[in-house]
Amino acid sequence: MDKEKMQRTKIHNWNKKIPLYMLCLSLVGFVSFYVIPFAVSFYYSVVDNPITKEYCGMGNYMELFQNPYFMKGLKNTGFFMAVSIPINIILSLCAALGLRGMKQHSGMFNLIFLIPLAIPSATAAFFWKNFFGLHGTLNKFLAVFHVPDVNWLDCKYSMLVMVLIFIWKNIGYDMTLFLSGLSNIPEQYYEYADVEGAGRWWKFKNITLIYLMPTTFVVIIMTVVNSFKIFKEIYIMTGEYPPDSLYVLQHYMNNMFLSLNYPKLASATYILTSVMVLFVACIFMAEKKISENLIS
Amino acid sequence: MMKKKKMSLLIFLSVLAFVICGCADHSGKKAKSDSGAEDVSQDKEMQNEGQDGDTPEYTKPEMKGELRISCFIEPEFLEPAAKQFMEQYPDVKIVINGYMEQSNTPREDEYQTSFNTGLMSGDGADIVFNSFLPVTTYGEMGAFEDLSTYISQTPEMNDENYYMNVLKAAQNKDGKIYIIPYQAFIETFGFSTELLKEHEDIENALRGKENICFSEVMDFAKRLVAGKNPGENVFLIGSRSTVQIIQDLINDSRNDFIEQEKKEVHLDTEKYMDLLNSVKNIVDEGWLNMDEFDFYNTEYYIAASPSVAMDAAAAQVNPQSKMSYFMPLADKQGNVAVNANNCIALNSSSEHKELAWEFIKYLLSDEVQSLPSVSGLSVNRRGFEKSVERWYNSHDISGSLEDYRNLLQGWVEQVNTCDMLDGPIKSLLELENEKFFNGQQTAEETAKTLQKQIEQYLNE
Repeated sequence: MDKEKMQRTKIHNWNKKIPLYMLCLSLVGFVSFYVIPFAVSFYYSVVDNPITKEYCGMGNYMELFQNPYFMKGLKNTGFFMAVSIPINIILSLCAALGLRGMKQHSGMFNLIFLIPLAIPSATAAFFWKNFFGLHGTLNKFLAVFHVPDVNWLDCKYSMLVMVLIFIWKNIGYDMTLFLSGLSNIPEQYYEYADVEGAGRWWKFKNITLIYLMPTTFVVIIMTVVNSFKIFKEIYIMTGEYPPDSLYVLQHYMNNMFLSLNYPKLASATYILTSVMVLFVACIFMAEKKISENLIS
Repeated sequence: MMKKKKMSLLIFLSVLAFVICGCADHSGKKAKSDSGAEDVSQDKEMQNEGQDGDTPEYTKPEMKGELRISCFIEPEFLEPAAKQFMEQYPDVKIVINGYMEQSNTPREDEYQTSFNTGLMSGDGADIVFNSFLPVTTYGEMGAFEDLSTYISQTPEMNDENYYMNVLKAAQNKDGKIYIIPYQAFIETFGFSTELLKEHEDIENALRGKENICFSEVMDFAKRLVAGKNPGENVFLIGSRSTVQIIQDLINDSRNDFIEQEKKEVHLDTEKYMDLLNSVKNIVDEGWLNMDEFDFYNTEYYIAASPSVAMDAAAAQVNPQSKMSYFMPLADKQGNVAVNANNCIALNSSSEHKELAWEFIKYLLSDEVQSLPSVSGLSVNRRGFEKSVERWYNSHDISGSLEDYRNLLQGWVEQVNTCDMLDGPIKSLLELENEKFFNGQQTAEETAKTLQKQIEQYLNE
């Protein structure tokens, strides 16, 4: 009996260790390919030249804030994130709520929203370039109404075009996360509210939104991360030197890499990472505070 | 609590010290050495300087080690040359990484990315065969070794043995040489003999010329075809796309449009827009419309046409040739350039710099330079003689060998500069000008876009 108990304890202990071992494997990869290179790249951010490696302290960082191209990239990236992230989250939540309420064909619509995720960036970029280009489909359509041709990829609305492309691509992803969050809200809560005579808005505000809060934070973080990936589409559509309104931080970094200017590249990466870490930390703090309020 | 405060203060002071140290004035140091290459070269010069201090002594390194060579397209002569070198020095191993040959879908930007990664990780190739890399930028960053010191320390590299004007063609205003041409690729232009018969004044003007700039080529060509019907059987310029013509016209007076060293661009000007429109007019008039012409069954005349030096000289010495008055293409100041794409660079971080230099010397020696696979004109005088003679004997060239050789030699001796415009700038020009000729944008839009893009490239 003791032997059996011991064996069970052994298995129990082993089962407890397995996740740790598995995490260790992942951790080794993360440390080797992200943490260490990131730490090493700090060295490059404090030298003036990647070959002579002369120490220059924070000189590169200070130069970056005086560099009009870096500032332009920072401004455009900020604008893109400020516009695209809230819109994408709101629309994906609406889509998730709509799909959840659908009695028929919800699976098909779910699939339709997810299709853009499966389309390679190059293909999507080719399609959108042909759609929004000067001689593209949109201008051909607008010409029917005698609207003059607009180069949508090189005008003051270019970034909004990118916002649209971003939403098209990411709405399905966020929607899926929201759908999983919504499925975790017990139906009884809505039934109790119905019995009490609560309206739709009240149920949405006091049940759906509250219980979706943890999912919303995950969605925010994932959308922020995904928003940086719009560079791929912009790069494919407009190249290394896009119109002013489409120049994002990654363009600057990419061009610094090609011109061997690793110090500037590393400094820009550190600035970007610091902003990101700060942002994610704020999100976690906000989540913690809201969760505490909910519990109390 | 006090301990925590002390720790915080200590950390703050450390960070402050770190920042202040870094922000201190390094201009003194920088003035002394503005690139890694210069540092290394100066050290090398100090080490090798003889007792008298003026004449550096050359010490041959131990011929042992592995040399890695990076190239986008592997030149044909490289592999046999490497084999011969390894046979001479069995302890030397040469590894050639030809990106084009190794990749299924070779792309220039991917090659540059992989090249940069190698360079920065300290695992870069020792010798680089340049194709399109931004040499000026790499030189400024100290990625390429300044070869002027190596040349001056190699006694056999003199005017007697080499066309030193070609070897030093890429010398910048500070006297540094980051790339050395391994062959003198000179572009020449000639004119239609038949059309010249009708224009004695043009023939007289061409007779005394040693070289010609592209705008002159265009002017002469336009005068030669004046009064004829465009596109029927007379064409203005042969083997030149509209985008290339624009590039040639920019090269005529490069500094009026792009001053790479000063990082200034002047493309958003009437001058550049006029240049674009003038070429567009030629296209619209049909002077370049060769696509649907039946060249095999119709007699035709091309007013001016480019040719590689060996063929151009063959045509020039032949009195029966359809094209005549071939001469090297120059800029408006008469500078004849070699192409930076046929050049060799030395990685400044290489562990075997001396050995690499020995191999570069071998590549420039008459042994390699006279190989049939060295397609351009040799930079080595003996190699030049041999390859010219071989070309003369293997082709049906009218005129004497001496005339042929003298003509080519005269052209090579005119070389005094290297076309160092960065590849990315050329690509931007090509891309945007193409859009203009396709009707996707106006001359003004093209000029503005290029101004912005190239300015950004140079100042980013």
